[in-house]
Amino acid sequence: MPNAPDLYQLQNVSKVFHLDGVDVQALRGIDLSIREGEFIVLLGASGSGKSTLLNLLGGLDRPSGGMIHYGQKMLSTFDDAQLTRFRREELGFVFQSYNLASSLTAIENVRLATEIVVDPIPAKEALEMVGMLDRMNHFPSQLSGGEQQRVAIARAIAKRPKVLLCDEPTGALDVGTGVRVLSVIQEIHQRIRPTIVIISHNAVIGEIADRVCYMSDGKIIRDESNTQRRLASELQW
Amino acid sequence: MVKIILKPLTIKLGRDLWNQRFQCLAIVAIVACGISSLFTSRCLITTLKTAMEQYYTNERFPDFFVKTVPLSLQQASRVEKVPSLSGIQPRLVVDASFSLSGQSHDPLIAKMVAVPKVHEETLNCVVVRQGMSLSEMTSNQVLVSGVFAEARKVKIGDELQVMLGGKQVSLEVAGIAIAPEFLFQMRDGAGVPDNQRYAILWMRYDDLASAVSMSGYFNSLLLATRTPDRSELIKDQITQSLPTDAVLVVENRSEQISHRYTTNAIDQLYSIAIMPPVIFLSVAAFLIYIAMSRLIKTERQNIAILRSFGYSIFETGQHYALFIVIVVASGCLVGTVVGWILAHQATAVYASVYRFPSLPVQFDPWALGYSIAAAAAAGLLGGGLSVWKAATLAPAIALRPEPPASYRATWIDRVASWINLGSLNRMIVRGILRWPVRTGLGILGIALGIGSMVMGGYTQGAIQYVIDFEFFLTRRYDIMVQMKEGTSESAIGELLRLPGVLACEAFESEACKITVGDRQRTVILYGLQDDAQLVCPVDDDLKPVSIPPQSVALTAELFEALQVSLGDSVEVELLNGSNKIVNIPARAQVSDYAGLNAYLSLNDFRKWFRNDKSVRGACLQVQTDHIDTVTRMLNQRPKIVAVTVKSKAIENFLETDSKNILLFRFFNMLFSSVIGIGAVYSIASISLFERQRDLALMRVLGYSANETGRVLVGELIVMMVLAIPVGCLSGYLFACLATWMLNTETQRIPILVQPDVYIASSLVSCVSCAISAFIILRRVHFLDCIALLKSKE
Repeated sequence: MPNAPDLYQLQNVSKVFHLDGVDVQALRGIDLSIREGEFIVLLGASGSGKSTLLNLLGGLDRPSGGMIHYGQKMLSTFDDAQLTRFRREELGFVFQSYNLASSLTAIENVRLATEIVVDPIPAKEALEMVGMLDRMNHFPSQLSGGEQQRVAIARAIAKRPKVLLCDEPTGALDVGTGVRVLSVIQEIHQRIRPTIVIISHNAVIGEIADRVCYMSDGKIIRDESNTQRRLASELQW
Repeated sequence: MVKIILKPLTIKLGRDLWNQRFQCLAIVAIVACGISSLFTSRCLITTLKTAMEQYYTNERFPDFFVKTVPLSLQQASRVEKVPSLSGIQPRLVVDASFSLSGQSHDPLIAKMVAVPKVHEETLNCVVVRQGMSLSEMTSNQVLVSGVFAEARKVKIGDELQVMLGGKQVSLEVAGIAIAPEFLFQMRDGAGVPDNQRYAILWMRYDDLASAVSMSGYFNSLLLATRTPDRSELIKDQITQSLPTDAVLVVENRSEQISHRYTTNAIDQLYSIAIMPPVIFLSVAAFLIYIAMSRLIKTERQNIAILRSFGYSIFETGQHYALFIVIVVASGCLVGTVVGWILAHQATAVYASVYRFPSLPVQFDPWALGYSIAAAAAAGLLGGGLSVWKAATLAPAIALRPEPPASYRATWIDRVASWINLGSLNRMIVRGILRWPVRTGLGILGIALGIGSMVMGGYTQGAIQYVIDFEFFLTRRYDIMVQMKEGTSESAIGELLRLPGVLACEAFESEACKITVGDRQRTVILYGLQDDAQLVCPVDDDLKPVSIPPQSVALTAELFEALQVSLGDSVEVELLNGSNKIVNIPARAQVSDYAGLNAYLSLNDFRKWFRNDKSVRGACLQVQTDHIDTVTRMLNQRPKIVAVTVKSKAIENFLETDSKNILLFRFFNMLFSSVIGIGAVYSIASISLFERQRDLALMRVLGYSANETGRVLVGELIVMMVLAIPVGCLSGYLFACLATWMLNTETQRIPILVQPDVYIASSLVSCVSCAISAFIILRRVHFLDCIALLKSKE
C-alpha cells in the first residue's frame, strides 16, 4: 500500500456555498492525496466539511477553487456527462440512510447498479458477499436497517468500483448492526481491494482504517497513519 | 409608509403556493376553462333570451301565424270573434324568383310581404336599419332583409328584377329592414339557411296585390292573443271563424320556423352550459386532490407543530383550505373574465345568424353564482378529504416521518420473472401498481382531455356527413325547379332537351299535416317517380327504399313522434286548401337528418291529392360545366317559379358554418389541450415528487439525467397508452350524450365520430404529454441529489 500510486490528489481545494446571499466556506485549502487501495476514514464533527469533501471525491459536486486529480485526469474540470461516466465506472456509494429504491427487491436493487457497467460482480454473488442472499427477494420495507445497509453495500461493490465512498454508513444503526456492517466493508476491502473512504463523526471507526484524517472548520487538521488496524468485530462504542 | 405585517401562517401559505406554482397554474387553467364555458353559455342564454323578449315585445311578435287561401280583406274581421284576441294583421305573402341587376344570374328566391297600410303597425313591425320606412316608400320600391343584403352586399338604390304574376318587374331597394318574424331567416322546408339566395322583400300592399292580381285580398294572417297558452283551443277558433277550407295552416309560436330555430339554439346552449364545465371541473377536482395529497405529505411536521402549539382542528384545516380557496378562486376569476370576453365573441357570431335590432351582451349574475358554486364544488370534492385528514392528524403521529412506500410481490412479478424487464421498467410497472387510484385517476384525467376533444371535433365530421347524406346520397340532382300550377307533362321533355341536362324527373312536394289520434305533425310530403334516381330516400343501412304502392314512407323520427309502428295507418292532409284527408298505411321507414319528411309514389300523390297530371316540380341532373347556362335559361322561362342550384346552397352553408365552427373548434382544442397538459403535468409532478429520492440515487449510481427521467416518462407513456382507448371511448359517449342533448325533431346530426377525430384528439394529447415530459425532464436535471439522499426517509 505505501508504494501504491496516488488515486486522488487534491491541491488547495476550497468550496463556498452561496446560500440566499450569504457565502458559507465549507472547505478551506484542502491538500490531500489518497493512494489506490487505501482505506481512509475522515473524522470530524458536524459542519467540519467532511461530507462536502466526500461529495467532491464522488463527483457529486465541483470545487470552488483548487484542483482535484483522479489518476491522470483533472476531476475538477469534468462536465456533467463526464462526471456521470466517472460515477458509473469508478465509484460505489454507501449512504447513512441506505437509499434503496423502494420499488425494487434486494437483488433488483443490486441489478440496478450492475446493469450499467461492463463486467460487474453477479448480483447474487454480491449479495452473498454481504450475507444477504437468503433475503434477495425482499423489498426494502421488508428488511431491517442493517440488512438494508448491507444490500446498499452489495449494490455499491457489485460494479467492481475502484473507489467505495461511505457517508456515515453506521450512523443510523445500533452498535451491533453497525459493527456487522463495518465488518462487511472491511471484508470487501480485503477481498477486492477498492480504495475506501468512510466519513464519520465516530472516532472509533478510525481504528479499522489505514489512515485517519481529522477535519475541523473546513480544513484537515490532522492526518495520521494507523499502524495498529483492528478488526471491525472488535470495535465498541 | 404603511408597513404590512403578515401573519406567519399567511406567509407560509404564500410560500406553499409558490412552491407548487406550476401545479396550481395547471389547476387554475382547468378551472378557468370550465368556468368560462359555463359563464359564456349562461351569459349567452341571458343575452339571447333578453334580446328576443324585448324584440318580440317592442315589435309585437304575433302569437299565431295563419296561411289561408286568398280571402277578401273584409273577411279578416271575422277572426275578431275569437275571444281574447289582441291584434290582427292580414297581409299578402308571395314567393317569387328574382335577380340582382348587375350581378351573376344566380337563381334567387324571395318571400314578398305586403301589409295593407292600416294594419302596418299592428303586429310584427318592420324595423328599418337603413333607408326609408314602409310608409315613406313609393311605387316599385322594396325593403330588403338585412341578412340577405349583407350576404349579397345590396345597397340602397340597387335594382331587383322580380318575377311577379308572370311578368318581370323592376324594383328599387329603398331600405334594409328586419322583423321579429324573420329573426332567423330560412325558407320553409329548406333544412339549412341560404342567406345568399333567399330574401324577404317588403313591398307596398297596393303594388304587390296588383302585380299578383290579388287587390283587396290577403293570404296570411298574423294574430296576437292575451291567452297564448290556450294554443289548441284558439287554433280551432281561428279555423272556425274563417270560411270552411280557407285555413291552410295555423302555427303557434313554437311551430313558427324562426322562433323554433331561435329557441332551439337557446336550448342547445343549456346543454353546453352543463357538459363541458362538468368535464373540466371533474379534472380540476382530481388535480386538486393530487396537489393537496402532495402538500399534506410534505407538511406532516408542520401540521404536528401547529397542532402541538395549540392550533385547533378548525384553524389547521382553515390554513390548508385557504390553499384550495385561493387556487379555485383564481381559476374562477380568470374563467369569469375569459368567459365574459368569449361571451362577446360568441354573441357576435350569433348576431350574424340571428338578426336582432341590437344584441348587447348581458351580464348574468346567476351565471356568476353558478360559476362560484361549481368551482367551490370542484374544490370541495378534490380537497375536502385532504384538508380533513390534515386537520385531524394527531400530532404524535404527524411528528413521525411517513413510513416508506411499501411494495409487495404481485402477479406482475411472477409474469415479469419470465421476461427480462430490466430495473427501470420494473420501477415503472411497480410505480403504476403501487398507486392504482392515482394511476387510474391520471388515466381518467388524460382520457377526459381526449374525450372532450373528440366531443368538440366530431360535430364537423357529423355535419359533413349530413351534407353528404342530404345533398348527395338522397338528393342527387344538381338543380331543382318549381313550376307554376298547370304546367303540362311535356315540360319534362323540354327540360331534358336543355344543353347538358342528363336526366330530369318530375316530383311533387307539399306541406301536409299527418295525424294519428291526438298526435299531429306538419311535414313536407314528397311524391316521387317509381324509378326515381335523383331524389332517392334511403334506410338506416343507406340502401335505397322503394316506396310500396298505396303507402307512405315516414322517417324514424315521425314514427316515434306519432307513436306508430310499421303498417299502421296515418291521416294525411295537404295544407293547400284542398282539404282532402287520406288514410294511408305507413309501410316503409326512411332515414333523414333535416326537417320532417314523408314520401309517396308520384302516382299515389297525384291520385289522392291532384286532379290532373300537371307538373309542379322537377329535378335535373346537369353536366357540371353546363349548370350556369341551364340556370340562366331556366330563369328566363315564365312558367318556372323558383330555381335552386344545389352546389350554391352547399357552398353558402359551408362558408357561413365554417367560420363559426372554426372559432368553436379553436377554443375546444385550446381548452382540451389545457386539460391534457394540466392532467399529465400534475401526474408527472407528483410522480417526480414521490420518486425523487430514487431518481437521485440513480443519478449517483451513474445513470444520466435522461436515463433517470425514463422512469417518469415511461410511466407517462404507459398512462398515455392506456388513456387513449379510454379517452376515445369517453369521447364517443360524450358525442352520444351531446347528440342526444342537441338533436331536435327537425334537426339532427348522427353519432358519427370519424377516425381522424380520434387520431387528432389522441395526437394533441400526446403532444401535451411530450411537453409535460420535457418540463419534468428539465426538473430531473436539476435534482439536488445530495440533499435528497441525505434526508431522512
